[in-house]
Amino acid sequence: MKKALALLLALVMMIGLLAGCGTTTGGGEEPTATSDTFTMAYNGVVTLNSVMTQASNDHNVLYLLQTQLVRYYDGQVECDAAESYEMSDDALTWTFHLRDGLVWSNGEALTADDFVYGTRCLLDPELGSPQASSWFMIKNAEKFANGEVGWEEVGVKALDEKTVEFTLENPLNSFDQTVACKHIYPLNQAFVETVGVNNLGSSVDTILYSGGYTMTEWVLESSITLEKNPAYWNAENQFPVQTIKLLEVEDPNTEVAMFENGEVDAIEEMAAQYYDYLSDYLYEVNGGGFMFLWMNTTGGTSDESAKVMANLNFRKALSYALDREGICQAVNSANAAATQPIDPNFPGLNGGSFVEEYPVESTPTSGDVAKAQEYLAKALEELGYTDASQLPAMNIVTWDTAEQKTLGEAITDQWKQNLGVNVQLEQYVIGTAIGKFYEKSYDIFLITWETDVKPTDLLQAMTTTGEANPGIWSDPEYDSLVAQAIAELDKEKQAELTQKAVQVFVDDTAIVPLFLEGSVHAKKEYVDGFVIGASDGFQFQNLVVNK
Amino acid sequence: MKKYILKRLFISIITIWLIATCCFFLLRTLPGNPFATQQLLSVEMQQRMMSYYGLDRPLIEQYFTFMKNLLHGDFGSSLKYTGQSVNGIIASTFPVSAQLGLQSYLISFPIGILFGIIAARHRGRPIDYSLVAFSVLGVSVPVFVLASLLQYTFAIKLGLFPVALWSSMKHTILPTLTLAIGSIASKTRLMRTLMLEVITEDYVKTAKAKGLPTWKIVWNHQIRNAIIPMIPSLGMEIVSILMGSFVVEQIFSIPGIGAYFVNSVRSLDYTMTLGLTVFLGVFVVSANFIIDLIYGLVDPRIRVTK
Repeated sequence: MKKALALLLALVMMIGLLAGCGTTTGGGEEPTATSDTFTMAYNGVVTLNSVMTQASNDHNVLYLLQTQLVRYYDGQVECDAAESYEMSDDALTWTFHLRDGLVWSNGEALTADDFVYGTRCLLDPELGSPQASSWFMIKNAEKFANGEVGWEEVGVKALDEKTVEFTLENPLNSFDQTVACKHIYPLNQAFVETVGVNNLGSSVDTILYSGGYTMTEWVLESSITLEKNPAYWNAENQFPVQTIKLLEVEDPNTEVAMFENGEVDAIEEMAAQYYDYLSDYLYEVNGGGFMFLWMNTTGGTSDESAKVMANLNFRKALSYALDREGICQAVNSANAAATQPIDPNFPGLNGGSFVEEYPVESTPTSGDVAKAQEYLAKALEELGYTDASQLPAMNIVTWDTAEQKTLGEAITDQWKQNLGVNVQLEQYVIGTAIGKFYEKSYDIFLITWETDVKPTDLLQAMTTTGEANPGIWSDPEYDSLVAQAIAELDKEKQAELTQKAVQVFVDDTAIVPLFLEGSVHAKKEYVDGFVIGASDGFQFQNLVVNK
Repeated sequence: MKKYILKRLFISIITIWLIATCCFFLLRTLPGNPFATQQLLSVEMQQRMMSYYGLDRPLIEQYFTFMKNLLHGDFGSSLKYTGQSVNGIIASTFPVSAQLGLQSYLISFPIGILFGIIAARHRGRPIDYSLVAFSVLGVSVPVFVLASLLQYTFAIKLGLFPVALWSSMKHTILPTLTLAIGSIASKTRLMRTLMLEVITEDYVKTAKAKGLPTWKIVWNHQIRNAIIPMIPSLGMEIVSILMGSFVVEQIFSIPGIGAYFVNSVRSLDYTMTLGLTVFLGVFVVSANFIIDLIYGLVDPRIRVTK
C-alpha cells in the first residue's frame, strides 16, 4: 500500500510538472550572449514618445534611437546630425548646419524641416508636451505655447534643407548645451500624422528611427531589444555593438544575482546595499539632481510655524546643525555633500571647477553645531521663546520611498540631537507629496531639482517666478542678479554675477542644499566604453563587449 | 433555474456598476494629480496636461464619458504610459499572469490534495508529522524568502534555471514553484482537516461494515465528501491566481499584471486603476456566479431549485 502510494505520488508530481509545462507558449533555449550583444538591467521606460515624455529614463533610450543636432558624450557637447553650428555675435541667433546623408530608418531623407517640426511638437498648445517650458527661451515660443501667436512667429526656421536657425528671446551663449541636454529630436511630419501624435512611440512600429539603433522588440515594463541601425549616418564608426538588450529588473537582489550569473553585463543603477558586495565592478557618477530642504517662508502648517520659519536665524540654525557628510553616508555613499547650489562638476573658466574658482561662504559640509546653537538662541530670543521645546509643531514633507525615509529621519534626528528642535517627518505617495509641494502646505519640504547644464539653470528655476519655486521664497536682489548673470555675455562677468547670486541664495537659507545625488552603475570587466552621463543618455557610441 | 440565473446576472451587473462608480469617485478624492511626479512640472504645465487628457472638465461629465466608454468595453488610455490603452496593457500582461497562476495551480492542486489525503490516512505516524511540518513551513515562509532561496539554489549555485525574466519555458519553472509550494502547503492542511472530519462519519463506518475495499471507501465515501467544502473558495482562489502575484512577478521580473495593480494607484493613473478594478470585478463576479452553479451540481443538497 505504501509503495503504491509513493508511486502514485511520484506520478502525480510528474503529471503536475508536465501539465504545468504544457501551458507555456514560448519555447527553446535563449541564445547565449556573444560579443555582439550587450545586456543591461536598466530603470525602464514609461514611453518612447519624445513629445510626451517627462522622464530622463525615456531620454536614455531615445538617445540610442534618434539622432540629435548636438548631444552630450561623457560630459562634452558633440556634433551629431549637425556638422557644425554657430552663434551670432549678439548670441541671439544659433544656426545648425546638417551633414549629408541623414536618413530615416524607412529610407526617407532627414532634413532641417524634421528638426523644425520636432521642435514645433514640443511647443504646440494642442499637444500639451510637458517639455514645452524648457524651450521658452526661443523667440515667441511661450506665446505660441499659450496659443497667442501662430507658428510662423516662433524663432525656429529651416533656412534650407540643411540649415536650422533658432532665434532667441534673450542673448544666450550656451544654447548648444541646452539643445544637447534638453533634446530636440527630429520628427517626420508625414509619419507622425499617420500614426497620430498620441500613439507615437507607443510600440516598435510607431517610431521612425534616425539614431544608432532601431527597436525590434518592446515589452512594456519588461524589456527592450535594439538592433544596430545601418542607416545611421555614422554607423560605420560608432555604436559597434550589434544588439542591445535592456531588461527592467525591479528587485535589486534579482538584479545582482543576474549580474553574478552573467545574465546581464551591466546594471544601470545599483542599490546602495550592494556597494560593498560588488565593489570591484562599480562605476560612479555624480550629478543629475540636487537634494534640497525647502523652508516655507510664506506660510505653512500654522501661523506660529510660519513665523518661526520666516526667521532667518532659525533657518540658519537648521542648516548649520546638519552634518551633511554623515547624512550622505547614511543614505547613499555615492551622494556628494553640498552647501551651495552649484554642481561641483560644472567647469570654471581656468581649468578648475566653478565652485572652486568662485567660492561662496557657507556652512561646512560636516556642520557646525556650536554656531547652530548660537543662531538658535538668537532666533528664540527674536521670536519670544525661552526654550526650543516651546516651538510650535512643524513638519517636513517628502515622498514615501525608503531612501527618503532614511534621509528624513537622519535630518530630523540631527535637529533633535543638536538643537532640541522637533520636526515631524511626513511621507506621502509621490503624486500627493508633489501636490502638497505646490499647495505650500508644509513647513519644510525635502525635494530634488535637476542641475541641468550650467550654474544659472538651477538658479533661475529658484527665482520668484522660477519653475521650481512654488512661491515659498522671494528676494528681489537675487532675482535681479540671476537675470543679469543670464543676460551677461562676458564669461568672467557672468561667473562673478553668478557667484554673487549664489551668495545671496546661501545667505537667505530659504532653500538649503544638502547633496548632489550620485548614482552607481555596475559593469563587467569585459565591457569597455560604458558611459552613462550625468545628463541623460545611454552614451554607447564607443561601447564594446570583449567577451 | 432560469429565473435564478437571470436574477444572479442582474445582481452581477449592478455589482460591477457599483464597483466602477465607487472606484471612479473615490480615486478622485485622492490628493495630487497624475502629472505631479518627482520630475517636477510647473503648475502651468500640469494644467496643460490635465486639459489635454480632459481631466479639467466637470467630474460628472468625465464620469459619463467613462461610463459610455465602459459600455463599449473601452477602458481608455493610460495617463502614465502615453499612447498605451488600458485594454492593450491588460491584453498583454494578463495572459502572462494567468499562465503563471495556472501552472502553479495545476501543480499545487493535485499534490496538495494528495498530501492531505496521505496525511489524514496515516494520522499520527511519521509521514503525517512530516507533511504537517512541511505545510506549516510552507504556509509561514514568506514568498519573497522562498523566491530568493530558489533563485540562489537552482539558478546561482546549480545553474539549472535562469535567475529571472520570462522568455522561455525554463524561465517559468522557478516562479511557478515559488507560487506552488505555498499553495500546496495550505491545501495539504485543509484537505487533511476535511478528511479527518469525514473519516469518523457514520457512512464511512457503514461502508467499512459492508466490507468494501479500502480504496473504494477512500475514493467514494471520504474524498468525494471531503472535497466539497473546498469548492466555494475555488472562485476567489482562481481569480487571485489569475491576477498574478505582485511579489513573485517583481522578484522574477515577470511582465505580468500584478505590478500594475500596485503601481497605477501609487502614480494616480486614474484610467489604469479603474480599468484594472473593473476587469478584476468582472472576473470575481462571474467566477462566483459560475461556482454557485457548479456547486449545485456537485452537492445535490445545495441545488437551487426554488
